[in-house]
Amino acid sequence: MEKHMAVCPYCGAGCKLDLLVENGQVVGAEGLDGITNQGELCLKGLHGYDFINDTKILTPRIYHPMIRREKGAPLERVTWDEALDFTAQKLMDIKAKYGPDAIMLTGSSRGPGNEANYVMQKFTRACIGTNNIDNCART
Amino acid sequence: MSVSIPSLEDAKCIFLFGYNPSASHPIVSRRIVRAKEKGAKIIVADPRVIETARIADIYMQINNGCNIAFLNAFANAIVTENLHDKEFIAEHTNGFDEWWETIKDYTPESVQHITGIDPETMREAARMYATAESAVLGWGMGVAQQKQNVLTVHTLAAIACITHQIGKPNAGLAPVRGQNNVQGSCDMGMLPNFFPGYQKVTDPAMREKFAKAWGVPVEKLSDHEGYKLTDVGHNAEEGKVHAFYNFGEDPLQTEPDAQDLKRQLQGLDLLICQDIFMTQTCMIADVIFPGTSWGEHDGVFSASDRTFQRFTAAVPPKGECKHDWQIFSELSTRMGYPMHYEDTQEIWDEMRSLCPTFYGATYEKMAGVGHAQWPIPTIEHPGTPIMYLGGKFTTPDNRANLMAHDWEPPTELPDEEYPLILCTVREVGHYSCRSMTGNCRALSLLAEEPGEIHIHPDDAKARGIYDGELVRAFSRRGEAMSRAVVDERINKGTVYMTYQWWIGKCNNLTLHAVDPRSHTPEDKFSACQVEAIEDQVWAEQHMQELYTQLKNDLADLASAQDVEPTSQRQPQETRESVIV
Amino acid sequence: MNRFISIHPDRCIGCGTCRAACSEGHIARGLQGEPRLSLVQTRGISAAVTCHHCEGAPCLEVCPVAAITREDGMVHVNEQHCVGCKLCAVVCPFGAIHPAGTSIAGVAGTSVNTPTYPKRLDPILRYDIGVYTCAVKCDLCSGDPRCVAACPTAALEYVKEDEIAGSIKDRRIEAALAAGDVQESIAEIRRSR
Repeated sequence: MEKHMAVCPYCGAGCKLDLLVENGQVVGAEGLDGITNQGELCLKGLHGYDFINDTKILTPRIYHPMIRREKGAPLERVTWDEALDFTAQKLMDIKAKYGPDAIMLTGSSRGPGNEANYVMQKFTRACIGTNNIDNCART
Repeated sequence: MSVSIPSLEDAKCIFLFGYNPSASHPIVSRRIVRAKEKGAKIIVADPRVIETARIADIYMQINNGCNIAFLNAFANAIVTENLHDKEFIAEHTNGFDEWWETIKDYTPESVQHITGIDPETMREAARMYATAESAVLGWGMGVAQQKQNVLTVHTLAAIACITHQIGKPNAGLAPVRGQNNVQGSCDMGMLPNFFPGYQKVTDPAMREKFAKAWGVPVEKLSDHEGYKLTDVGHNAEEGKVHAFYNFGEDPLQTEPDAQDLKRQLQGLDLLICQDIFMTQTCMIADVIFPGTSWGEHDGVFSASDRTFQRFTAAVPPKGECKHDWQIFSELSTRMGYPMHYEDTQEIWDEMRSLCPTFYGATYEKMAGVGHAQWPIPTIEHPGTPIMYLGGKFTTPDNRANLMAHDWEPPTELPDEEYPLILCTVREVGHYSCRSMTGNCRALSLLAEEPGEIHIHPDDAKARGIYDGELVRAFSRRGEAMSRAVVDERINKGTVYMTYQWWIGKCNNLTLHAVDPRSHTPEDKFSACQVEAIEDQVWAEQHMQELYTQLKNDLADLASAQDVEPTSQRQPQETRESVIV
Repeated sequence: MNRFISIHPDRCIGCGTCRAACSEGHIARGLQGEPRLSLVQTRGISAAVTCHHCEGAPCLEVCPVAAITREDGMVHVNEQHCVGCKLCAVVCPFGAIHPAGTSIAGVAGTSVNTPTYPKRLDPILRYDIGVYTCAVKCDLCSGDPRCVAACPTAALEYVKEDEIAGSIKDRRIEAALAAGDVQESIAEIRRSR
């Protein structure tokens, strides 16, 4: 069994834990001696890992990029190249027509982590040219 | 938080105001249990008998929506009994006299009809807090999700300042963050007014610095503050916002007045969702980008107490999922601003080099169970568990500005038609929109749809509602079905719901009134009504049908991803291309 | 020898970590996933309530098919032998044993769970088409209770012979020590005479 160090993704306490992996599946979690949790975890830390394995208890994971070619059209799986080209073109069209402040972005305060958010705000400010970026801290 | 979570354990007094750590942060609650065992005095002011209230030395069951009235009277009691620290006030604060001008009218007696608290009990609590050797004042959404939220925070901070319960070991302010990385989002500049590291976008010197580092002309960086997330709905409706890029959130579940928001978002020209699950917001998206999940990527989270800690991938990415930062980089490159990173450490090091407050937080320091607590300005710096030591504040003159405000009633008061107050709270076993925890076997087994609505025994009896029955809750905005829990721990006249549930969606009922400063919605206070459902078997079946339907809809929509793209289609001719 | 789980209510924060650990522990051993501890929360108390492994266990006495036995100081239910008669649930003075079954939703052509009774119905009276119920109760996880290890505030304690003997001894020493101050001053007075 492999062990991989992580930080619990469920609250602002910041508990360190090991994810236990067997045959490519996350099968358990164990508390580590982090500064805050000292080896302890609550129910979410101990049992909140199996969503990664796509249990489909509530809703399925998404594995492929999808687009609607037009408003109201059905979702359609496309290649990454097509999805990114389609989106880039749409965003550039909107920016050209209404200006950069017509685009709004929101970051994720959940699993992605600080680096992903840093890159998103850099994209917002340096590429789109707006400060229309926020996070769920208000709600 | 000006204090660290571990330091709670050594505080001599802990005062919780509108914060239920046992449901929202059990591991923080554990520190409070330990503090109590070490002899700390515990004070709790909350409309519910929360777990910490049971072990509190003084528990005050306050009325919903009384915050500023309560705190002004609490401050009044401190000063009237001469328990404020005059020396600390003189040396480290500004504006005491002006502050007192507002506070002096708020005696505990004068606001008892608003707070519901016996004046002598409040005085005793004020004495306990003010005279403790060290005290931590903790608050949560009970302060933040109210109409006068920012003003309440000013008042809380002033109370810590006038009593010198800040700026010394094991004392200070503990406003906790809800989601695991809200602190991190803010640290990273996911805010319309700040670059990463809380550097103002309106400061020309900052724009110059970031423009240079990012290799763009300084004119390219916007010189004005952007929109706030809670404005996205009406901005879309008013034609100010045409595209919304939603990264890893499910606003149609988590934002107030969800039905209205859905209509507003459907009017956008472009809605992009980058997520790991098919959510209700993904259902109406024009573009869905599959990101990697926690457990499939590396990174750093910021805990509530400013502690940076690293996490690592346990399993490889599934399907065609890409790391979020790769998706942004590739999109940016296609839009004419090339970005490329090899790994998260390269991103982190670029960020550190631009943020003096975070500079010393290296990946090496955070290896294993290591951590780095900001402010941490140099590589040698040990980090800062307690802020403002010695009363040195981060204002230009290093002094705290005392602010006082008058109490105002909440926006939507109960009336004859909607006589109950709805207050939204947290579910200990579920998280946010539930896309993660709802897919975990053990957690979904313990708490399932349609969630719970906690109701006082008297209110339940008056409506013929029995414990465990399905009920209908409704407001001026919408309705939801929920399961009644007849709860003697809560105050009469208020019902409590958690915001994870689809069928029991409390955000169908909540009022979208936001505070003018923070634009935070008043989720803790809206008027509603609850009624019994006669045919319980029908209700149970109906609830299951609705739930199954929604699950099937999500699964059906996601099944579009099972059909492989046949060939690269030609771009549609009707589309006008404008390249900028 | 008797064994059981004892509770420190002042440490309990009502988080339910014990219940999640209990459920997962039993699923892992091929048993019913129903948690065997219940969390009781009144205005004054929060506590996990579970089986006391009574010496004169009424559940064991009334079981008509001997599915409940005493093994190594604890009361054990054989979920395979249980016929679901619910007598044990009726006689338990602590509400620590109750019937539970695994829904067949998702298998055998039934995709949806169709409720036929209101959920507030007592578990003793519930009946689901096609669902075989059996009595579930704490089995101390065969000597390594998951709930005790999981509790983040150490509010649960696994009491075995060695520990309780130790703790009673400790309490007696404590009592003697508390009296020590008095004895000290008496000794002082005597010396001064």
